[in-house]
Amino acid sequence: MTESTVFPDIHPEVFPDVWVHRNAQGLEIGSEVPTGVPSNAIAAFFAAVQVTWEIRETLWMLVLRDFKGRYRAQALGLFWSLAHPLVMMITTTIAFEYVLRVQIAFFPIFYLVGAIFWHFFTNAILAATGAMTDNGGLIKHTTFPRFLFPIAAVLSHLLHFGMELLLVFAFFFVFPDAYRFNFTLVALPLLVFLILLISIGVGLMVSVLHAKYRDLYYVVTSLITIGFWGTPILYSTAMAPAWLRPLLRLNPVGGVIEGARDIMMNGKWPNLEYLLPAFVTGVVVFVVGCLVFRKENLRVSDYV
Amino acid sequence: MTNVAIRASDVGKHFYRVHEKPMLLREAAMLFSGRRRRVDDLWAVRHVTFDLHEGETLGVLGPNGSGKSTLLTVVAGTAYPSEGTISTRGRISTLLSLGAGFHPDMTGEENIITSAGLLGIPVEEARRRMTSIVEFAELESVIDTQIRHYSSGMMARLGFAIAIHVSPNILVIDEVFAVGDIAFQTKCLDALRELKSRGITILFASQAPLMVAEFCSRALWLEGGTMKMLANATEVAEAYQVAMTGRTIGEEVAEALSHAV
Repeated sequence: MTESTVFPDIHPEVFPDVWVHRNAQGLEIGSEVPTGVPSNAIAAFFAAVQVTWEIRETLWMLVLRDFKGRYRAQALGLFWSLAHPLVMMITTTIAFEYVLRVQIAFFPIFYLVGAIFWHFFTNAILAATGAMTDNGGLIKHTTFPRFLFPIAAVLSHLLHFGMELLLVFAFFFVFPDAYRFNFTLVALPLLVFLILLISIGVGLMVSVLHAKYRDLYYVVTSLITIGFWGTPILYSTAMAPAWLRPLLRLNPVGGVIEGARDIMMNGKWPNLEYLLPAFVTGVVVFVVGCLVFRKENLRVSDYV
Repeated sequence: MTNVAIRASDVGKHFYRVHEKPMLLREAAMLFSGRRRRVDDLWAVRHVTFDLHEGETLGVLGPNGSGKSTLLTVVAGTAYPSEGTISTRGRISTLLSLGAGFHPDMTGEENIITSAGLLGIPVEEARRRMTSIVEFAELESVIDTQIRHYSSGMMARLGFAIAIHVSPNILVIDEVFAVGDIAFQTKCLDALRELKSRGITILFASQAPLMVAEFCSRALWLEGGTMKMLANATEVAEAYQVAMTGRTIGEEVAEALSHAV
């Protein structure tokens, strides 16, 4: 075997003159002599955004792998994933509209809009909880940026959410009176972006903490059960007593749901009364998630 | 401009024994509430200092549990040092375990794309190198098969082929290709020599002093996580062999040959 035929077109790139220094405090990118102080959080954040953009194709492959993996084993695959919200919509409608006689107009759609956002949020953070521990091999043995594992988990549920959202639009043909479609629809992607931001924030945080504290999973599932009742899915915040409303408005997922209902069912712009608190808590959750991740990430490979 | 590629300055990595397994929140609460167990530090690696230049190959020798793998993960950046600083320059490719990142349900081809992506190679570039990777791994006949049907040797070949095709500046290898058959091992070593001649810096953990002597320019002997010896590869390999078996590499080879006769 002549050596030149082993792999003819592979040549190492020129060694860049950028140094990466790692110490117990974190990562520093710079010149040859380290200052000993890790790159600041804002620089690290923008570096992470840049990296994500550079390897978006690989991220997309991870997302698809998660997404396909969920349906591969099932003969009817996607059908089941859409059957679930439908079954929930029917049973909940029977219980609330016909048994409990709740007076909400177009309850099936009212419920479905709330439920798909809530399911996206909870499925995304549950998937993110296991993102580090499930990818232990990759985390220990490759240099792939780890923050992309929880993000891929969240994004794969976003695909699913997209299909459920189409389902909600499809119901226009069943209950045309439930909808008021107009130009306010342009605000809907912003709400999706807000809930994505919240999910990624929470996801980043729980993914690294779960590597260290394995019973966190049970804490997360319990909080989700509580959160279901603290989120306006089966009710709207306006129905709650006045003293409770400010508390409910701290829940950013609730604000997103109220906004989505106003847009789709009332043809109104989201009201700042609930959107502003939702936006502020959402951003806080995202920033806290990033900071927790930045700190815990340093030791995550010791635990997975 | 310097030509140092990896610089370890007093690198140490410790594990809390309490943290050896992931904690439960309950245990963390106990730690906080003052019922703190005595925390024993386990230094897997400590006081490791070296400079490795572009194109150099450092062999890391040491008995089981001497900290070789830990040192490699710290250099590769999958773990952070607990003290000291590890500084690197350029793209790092790792071969720390076989099949990390392989998905059993995907075909060999799909796995090449994903794995290369995980090592930092864009999809398009991975596609361009596909033929070369498959050829190198000698898996042309099964590349469309799900890799759950591959043997461990085939998996090893695929993993190795991908790792060397991502054109890294630094390659970190943890004695993994011992799995392949002898022909493939030889091929791997030839490939590594080729990479070396192209200026790639290689960090290579091994149990085999002969391989280190033959292949590396320098060697580091770790014992109990600290540096026992850092010198020219043949010197270290010889000293290590003598310390471990009481015989020099030459005697060992002669002995093996005499049995064969």
